[in-house]
Amino acid sequence: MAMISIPDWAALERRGLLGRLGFLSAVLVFLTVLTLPLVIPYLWLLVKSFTAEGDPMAMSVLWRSAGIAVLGYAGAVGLTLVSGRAPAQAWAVLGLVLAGLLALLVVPHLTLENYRFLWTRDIEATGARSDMMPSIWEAMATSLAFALGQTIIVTVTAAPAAYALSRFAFVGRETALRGLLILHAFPALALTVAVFVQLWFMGLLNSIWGVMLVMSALELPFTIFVLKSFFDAAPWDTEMSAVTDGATRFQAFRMIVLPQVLPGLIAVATFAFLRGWEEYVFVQTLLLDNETLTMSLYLFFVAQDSMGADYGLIAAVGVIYLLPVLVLYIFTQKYITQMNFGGIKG
Amino acid sequence: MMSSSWTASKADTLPCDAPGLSGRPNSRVIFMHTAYRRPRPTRPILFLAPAIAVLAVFFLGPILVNTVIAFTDMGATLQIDGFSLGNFQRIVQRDMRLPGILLTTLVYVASTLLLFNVTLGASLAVATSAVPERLGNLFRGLWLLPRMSPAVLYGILWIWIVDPTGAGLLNQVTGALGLPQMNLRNDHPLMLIVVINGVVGASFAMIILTSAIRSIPAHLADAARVDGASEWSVLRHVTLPALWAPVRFITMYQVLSLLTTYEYILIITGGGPVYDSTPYALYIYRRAFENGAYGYGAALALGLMVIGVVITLLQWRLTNMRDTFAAPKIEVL
Amino acid sequence: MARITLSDVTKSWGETQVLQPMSLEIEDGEFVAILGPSGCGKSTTLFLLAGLYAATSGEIAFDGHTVNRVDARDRNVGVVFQSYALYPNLTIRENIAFPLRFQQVDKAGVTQRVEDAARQVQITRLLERKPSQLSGGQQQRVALARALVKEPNILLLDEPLSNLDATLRIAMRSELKAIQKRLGMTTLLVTHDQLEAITMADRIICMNEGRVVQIGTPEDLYRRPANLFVAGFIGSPPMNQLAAEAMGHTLQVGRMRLPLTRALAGPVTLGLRPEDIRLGRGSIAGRVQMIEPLGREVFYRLETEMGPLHALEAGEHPRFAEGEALGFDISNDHALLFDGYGQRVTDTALTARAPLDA
Repeated sequence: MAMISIPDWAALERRGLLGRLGFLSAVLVFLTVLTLPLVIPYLWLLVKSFTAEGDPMAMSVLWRSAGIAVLGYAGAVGLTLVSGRAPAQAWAVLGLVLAGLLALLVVPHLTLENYRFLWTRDIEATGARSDMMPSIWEAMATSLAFALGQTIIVTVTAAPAAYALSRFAFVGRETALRGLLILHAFPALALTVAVFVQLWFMGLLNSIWGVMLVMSALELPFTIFVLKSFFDAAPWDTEMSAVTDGATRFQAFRMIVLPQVLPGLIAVATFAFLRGWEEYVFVQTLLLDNETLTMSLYLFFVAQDSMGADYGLIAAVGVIYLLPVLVLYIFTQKYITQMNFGGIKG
Repeated sequence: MMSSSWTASKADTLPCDAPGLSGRPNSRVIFMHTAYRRPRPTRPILFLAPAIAVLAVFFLGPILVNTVIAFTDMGATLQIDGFSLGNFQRIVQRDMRLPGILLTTLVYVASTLLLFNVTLGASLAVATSAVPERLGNLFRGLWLLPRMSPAVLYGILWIWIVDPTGAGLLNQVTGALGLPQMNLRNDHPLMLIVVINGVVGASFAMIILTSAIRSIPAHLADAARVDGASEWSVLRHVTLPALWAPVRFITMYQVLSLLTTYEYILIITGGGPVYDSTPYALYIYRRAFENGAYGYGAALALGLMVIGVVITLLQWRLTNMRDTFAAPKIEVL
Repeated sequence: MARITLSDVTKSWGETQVLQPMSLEIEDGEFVAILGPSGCGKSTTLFLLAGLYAATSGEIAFDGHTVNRVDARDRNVGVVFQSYALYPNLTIRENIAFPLRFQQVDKAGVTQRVEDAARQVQITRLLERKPSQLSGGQQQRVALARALVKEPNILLLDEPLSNLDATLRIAMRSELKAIQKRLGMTTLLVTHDQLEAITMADRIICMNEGRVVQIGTPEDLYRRPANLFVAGFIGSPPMNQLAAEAMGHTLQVGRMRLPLTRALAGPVTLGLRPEDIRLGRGSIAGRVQMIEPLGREVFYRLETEMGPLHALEAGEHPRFAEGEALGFDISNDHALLFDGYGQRVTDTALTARAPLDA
């Protein structure tokens, strides 16, 4: 055959190495440059929440900590990529250098003053407008109750419905599914006006229950479909044998199938909770007086108050507001990634 | 009634346990199917009732209310004086803002979708899949931050970034580079809302495309490498072709969500200055709640609902819904 | 076109070592099969050669040049993957032409070579189709054409026939072998199917649990297995393995005692191929328990003085009935002895057909 030539193995080896390194570093540079502007605002939020309001050092603390973060990132990437499996000492040195830099350049300028609202019940001491603002604890309790209530309504109503749609053959099943799919894709935010009017007629305007029920209803189609796909994936065999062993379909559902879709229940419950925790438009529109404030409203009002706004306080409230979301997300991530909608995994 | 019918079914199931049938798992189902044609609709209804009740009152209810008040001139007093087609006449003939709003919507949806939700999302998926696993997870986690952040917090961050004074984060950077100060909220509001929604929207495509990339058989990339492809060629010839189908799904899905959501815009620019960053969905909200024209807002919303339903139906034509509608395997209730 | 040398090559994934130090040499133009049960490290070895995995230690050389750090794309190997790994978005023609994109080949040359390769595997009619429109056997041929079109120095086949139905597999076996002989490139076939290895390869490398257990010709592995693993793995139905006790020049098997050429002591295993048991003309007593006609052969399950035995006899019809008592003897040349560690005892054999006590 034509191509009997002796390859220059050494040159090929060099080319391969350069090609691999070039590819990897190009991708890494791309990702890093793209992601840095995303990270800095969050870092700023953190720095702001830990520096005194009006401290001229705040900005330089931000850039210093950004620099240290970049250094740590570069060090970690270098250790993992360039030198293969770096020894524990190398990691320890990197950690020490970073901790040292933080202690020298950043820590001296930090303060916990902005978080004083957490332990001071006195509202005036929090810097927010005392005539309008309840304490952040009340807002947090409202948000928590709101989110939990919504979570319970959504999961308790969606689970049996999803099971029925997944497992029961009944007249109108496909029609019901199609209807639900339309509702799922329905521009729910466009209903704000109608919801407002309807709740007014029902006397539920200004009531946390009204918003909760509306939000639950809007969440339901999505939740039912996600849960349905979990029920679809649960094996039929165990349920069939439960039924032949003498269980009713409801008993089979409660004792055999429901435990199998626990990851799905956790995932949809997490979603419902987060949606309730962060909701802004509906609570803003439907809770007219400022008696009941959720965290989102609280934060928005605090931030809108441009007259002598305490940015440090806002940042601290923001961090506290974000924290449960991140914690919840980290703990339920493995369930959320199992979610499946319409054949597309997300 | 339930218990008596159950004893009957128990007796009927017995033959299934006969040794000749037990080896064939399907025989049981077929048998039940023939034995239980009698429909008993009570039980599915029991399972569905709570969901149906909530949906009927708080989802279908508002749709109905919306349809009704779209034909009234309901204002801030919430009084209904009579029904007419006045709102629709106004939409078609007299609303001077509407053409501009529609153009804004088109620009906003198209550029957010193309630049961010698809292009940025796909780039992130490809790049995070090309680096070592843990690093990829780190970057994906970071890009999920905006989506996880509560809308108000995300909004405040942006308000701080684009703050027109020297204290704004962006102006800190431009100041350091010797560039003039910027006031994006006033000067480029449309661009701003595209970026704001795009940064959140990109993670949707990122997640879906990442799992699409992961489901490419590993041997396909190996085969390409053995065939002489560099890593870039593997991306080009193996990874990219696998992304077309999910990208189509993402496009359809995100067009709808971009058309109908306005939360971030409401928080960050409020749709302003004037109506410069007000897409259609926010326009409905502003007309209804800023001007107290509930009837007119409902009429505008009706239009959006029709568009939403049409897009959903289109989506059904493009994606395979067979699995979703697949019949259950136990036909007895 | 290339001689392959492996010197003490190992492979670990994290803490688990999937390949124990492995050294072997494959001659230029040789057709070698790596045979072993799943998870024995045979595919790992193949991917190490392809450059898709990096060796943890040791040296891989082509024609005496170390290639450990040469990328897969520069090694000029052709690989046929078990799943065929055809590019779903490309037509068959584009699939086969794919490797040529990365070589300096002009358009006419590409067409020419694609059609040559397609002709080799007889798929010229399918060139404009998409992989999803092809049957498994056709996809397999496309994968082979794609591996051949770049005129590789080494052809690596990873279980290429395992997804085909039985008839097609037999046809492809001889076809693959013919193509290899015609083109003459060094070829490595990874398989768990002993028949595939025996019928196609010049030499077989038998692996188990990340180790090479025996290297040899098919004949070697069948007649002179190095240990009980090879003895049991190769041959269908498998070799009879009878627990026995060696006492000097005597071997006690069940109630039988057989003479040995050399003194041996301790527990041993006697290995007998089913076809080496000659029914109806010996003095060892047995009784037929069950008969399974296999078509051209008849398979007998026997209860004998030596213990339970399986025997295979040519012929369409059974010569004995179930429950019938019969006498048989064994071919001494082919009886194998394995010591307590499962290694074959090479310098000792049975001497007489007749049992000692008869």
